[in-house]
Amino acid sequence: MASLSNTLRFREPSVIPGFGLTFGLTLTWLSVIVLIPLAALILYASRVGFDQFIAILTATRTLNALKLSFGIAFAAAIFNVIFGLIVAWALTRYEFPGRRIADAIVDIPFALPTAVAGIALATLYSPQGWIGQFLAPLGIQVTFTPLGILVALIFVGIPFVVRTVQPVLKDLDPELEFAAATLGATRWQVIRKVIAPTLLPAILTGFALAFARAVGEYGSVIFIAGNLPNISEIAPLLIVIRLEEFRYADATAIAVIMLFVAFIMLLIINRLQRWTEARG
Amino acid sequence: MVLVDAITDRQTGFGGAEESSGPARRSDFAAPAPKGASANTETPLIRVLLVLVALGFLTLFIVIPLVAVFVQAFSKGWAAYFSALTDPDAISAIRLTIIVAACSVAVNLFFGIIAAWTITKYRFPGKTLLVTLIDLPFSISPVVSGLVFVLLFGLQGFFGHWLQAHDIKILFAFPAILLATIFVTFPFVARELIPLMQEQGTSEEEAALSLGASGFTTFLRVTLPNIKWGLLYGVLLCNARAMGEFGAVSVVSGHIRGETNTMPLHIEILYNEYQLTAAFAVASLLALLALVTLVLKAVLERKLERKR
Amino acid sequence: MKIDVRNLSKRFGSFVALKNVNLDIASGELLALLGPSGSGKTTLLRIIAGLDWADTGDVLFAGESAARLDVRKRHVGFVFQHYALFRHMTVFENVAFGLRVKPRRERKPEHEIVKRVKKLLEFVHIEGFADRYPDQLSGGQRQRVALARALAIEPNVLLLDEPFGALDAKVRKSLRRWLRDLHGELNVTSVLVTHDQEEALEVADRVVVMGNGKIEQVGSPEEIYNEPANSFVFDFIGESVKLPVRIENGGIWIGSRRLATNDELPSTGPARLFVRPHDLTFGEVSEAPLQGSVRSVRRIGALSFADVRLDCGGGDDFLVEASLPPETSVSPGDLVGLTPRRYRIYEDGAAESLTSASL
Repeated sequence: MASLSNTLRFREPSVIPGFGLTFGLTLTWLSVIVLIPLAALILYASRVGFDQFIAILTATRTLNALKLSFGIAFAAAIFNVIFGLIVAWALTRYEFPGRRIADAIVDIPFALPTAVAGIALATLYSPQGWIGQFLAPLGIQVTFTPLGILVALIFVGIPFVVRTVQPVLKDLDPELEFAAATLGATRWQVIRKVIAPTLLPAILTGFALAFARAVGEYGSVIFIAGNLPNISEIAPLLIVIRLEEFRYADATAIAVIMLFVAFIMLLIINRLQRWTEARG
Repeated sequence: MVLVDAITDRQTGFGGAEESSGPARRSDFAAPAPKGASANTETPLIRVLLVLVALGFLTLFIVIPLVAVFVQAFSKGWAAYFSALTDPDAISAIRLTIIVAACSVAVNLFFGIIAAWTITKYRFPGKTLLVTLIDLPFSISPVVSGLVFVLLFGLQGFFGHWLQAHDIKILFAFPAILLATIFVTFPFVARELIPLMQEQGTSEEEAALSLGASGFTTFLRVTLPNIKWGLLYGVLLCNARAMGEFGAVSVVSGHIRGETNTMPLHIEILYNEYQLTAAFAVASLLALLALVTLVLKAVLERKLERKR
Repeated sequence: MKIDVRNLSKRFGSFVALKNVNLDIASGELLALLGPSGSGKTTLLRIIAGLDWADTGDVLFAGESAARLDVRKRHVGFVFQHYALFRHMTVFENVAFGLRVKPRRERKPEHEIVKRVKKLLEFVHIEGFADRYPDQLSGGQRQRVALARALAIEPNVLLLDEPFGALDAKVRKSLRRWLRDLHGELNVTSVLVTHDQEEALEVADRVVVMGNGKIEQVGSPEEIYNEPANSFVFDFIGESVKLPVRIENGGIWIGSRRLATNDELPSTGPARLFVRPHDLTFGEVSEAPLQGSVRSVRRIGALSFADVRLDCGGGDDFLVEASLPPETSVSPGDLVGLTPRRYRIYEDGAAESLTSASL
């Protein structure tokens, strides 16, 4: 009397009802909102033709835009790793007045609309702005230069490193450090040999998240960048410009590259997060 | 009592490890890091230095821009501030933003719960892929998110001619703005719920079912109360992003004043027309929304912390 | 209600959780499923409850197949390992849950629900905590709430998954006795999963010892302890000493000494002797089949223990902890003899006992 045949089945049986309904709805909705539109992008790109696709991507203006986007996103992510670590360290390890507020402030770039951040940064760093007025006499021009893009991308990336490193730092068993200290390690050795290896997966995750976000960022950049072709024109902006010129093929080709990078980054981030959890 | 060295490993066979799928419990001995402990921390000088660098960094990159928004908004007094906000175009932008945000939050709330339920309550192959796909909109450039809808519904797009022939307007109109907003906010609710529901496991649901409750009753009376704070948190973040979305909406909206302009787009137009005070006045509303979101988030986090 | 388990098998991927398990549970008995983790006992319990499905086989409730019966229709009272109390509901609401979610026509009026819940809370002695939330209760109290909640639906069978696993030793003992008494009053068929042999032997009418997805032995606590069916059970239940022996020339040999003559046994060569430590008596070095030197002596309260290093021949040394009779006194370095009073011999690698003896 076999109660349930051991035939091939899609999922392991569960006592909780509703799998068919919820799985079906999830898949349908995911398809309608995300998968079909993205498939449209790929389909459109496949119509462009390989030669034209390559020609678009190797055009000087496109190349410069991509180089600028990836290069500055990378620099901003590095910057955020360094300062994000210091912020995370200070917030978890030390008690100081205003610590709670500082901790809350870290999330502002998540919540503040990019356009708001964009106009605020552009105003602040203009030669007459609060910050720009001190930089102008030194010959440092921020607005309408790649430096401005860097400032904007640092802003949007701040929370990522802090928020990935913080929980790992918090869970780090203090006895590990005591143990290392009793074994005669100096503080610097403890940090290098005990703390740093534990934090590494989280740091890389934070870096990847900040980089992925920065590569695609649009709103906070366009106001401060000035958008001079080949100098301060980022890839997402070039997509918008090509669209406005009705050069859909050009827009699509650049978008496919960005989508590809986004997907790769997502896979890397997933790996890193699993690594982080395994270490935690 | 006798122990033979050859058989002492017996105890390890059942040293407290359980075979059932009970909720994983966090280790109780992970004490918080000692703050200000002497043997285990840096010299006072380094400590002060690190705190100052951290605070300086946060001030320069976050506090000053935030303060600037409000200072600029009120730089010409309350009257100018209010007239900027009561401008008909501003009002219509605010109205559109609220409607779009409300719709996309409602839709993503519903599907976010369903997706999180599917992912956390069942075991099936391809789950990791499904989670990755749900996360995808997070890492796609907002401009690309907008572009895909142009390619679908634009005149040169896949459905462009058909839509034009049937006189249906999607692109440069409300439907596309809503679709693009739903796209970029798609993962927020699910992302917030998945870890929470994973941690809670399925034993409370199993208990309810064994006591005779139906699947829907179980969800309503057992699952939902357990996730309500996490859910609210997800809704808050989803709403903040929906109201503030710029890139994707900018691509699909067509920038028609008084019709398809959301608040961020209105800010852009004002800024480009050098109406700085007005731009910052509208921006201050969004900045306020961000601040309120963060305050509520802090409150909810403390509630969630206590639940655990 | 009588429950019959028929030919149950279950795999999780490549892991075989249950291998063709058959078991009859008599109406009204308190049965313990005992085994190490991974032995399949929880899986068996969950399949009986309808929380899991077997790949093949069936479970009969009062003779009728429950295979197609949803967990909701089985009327099993399941007490979860970590209680699975609804954390957002008070104790009262937790216990009332099963009564409130009944279909409208079967549902009792509110005042009857209140009455019944109050009675249950009194029954498990937590009537004072009705308005508390689960996280305001101690482990033992939560356990009682979980039990009251399971009993509220008047279950056909009560299933308890490691009911005392998460409690500290003292509470565990008192709850054990209480559960025993409670079962005596209710007489509901109950199945209890545990990895704690003491618990199983003390509480249950019958004990099912499980290992590696199979039932190794079913019997009363005395039978399980005194007549272990195989080496697995002997090893798993109680303390045991395992020593290498040889069966040759009509005798059982430990090293060069003969433990017993035995003409029935074929000369199968190496085998293992299983003996309970308290069945080892101290005796004359020259006469006892086991000899060794005392390494250390410890006194714990009224009891004394000696660690004896046995020489079993072949260069193998075994360190044995034996309890000393009250009047005996030995000191480290003494040569002593040990005689196993009751023992079993198992052929190497085989589960079935070759012989057992009481001297």
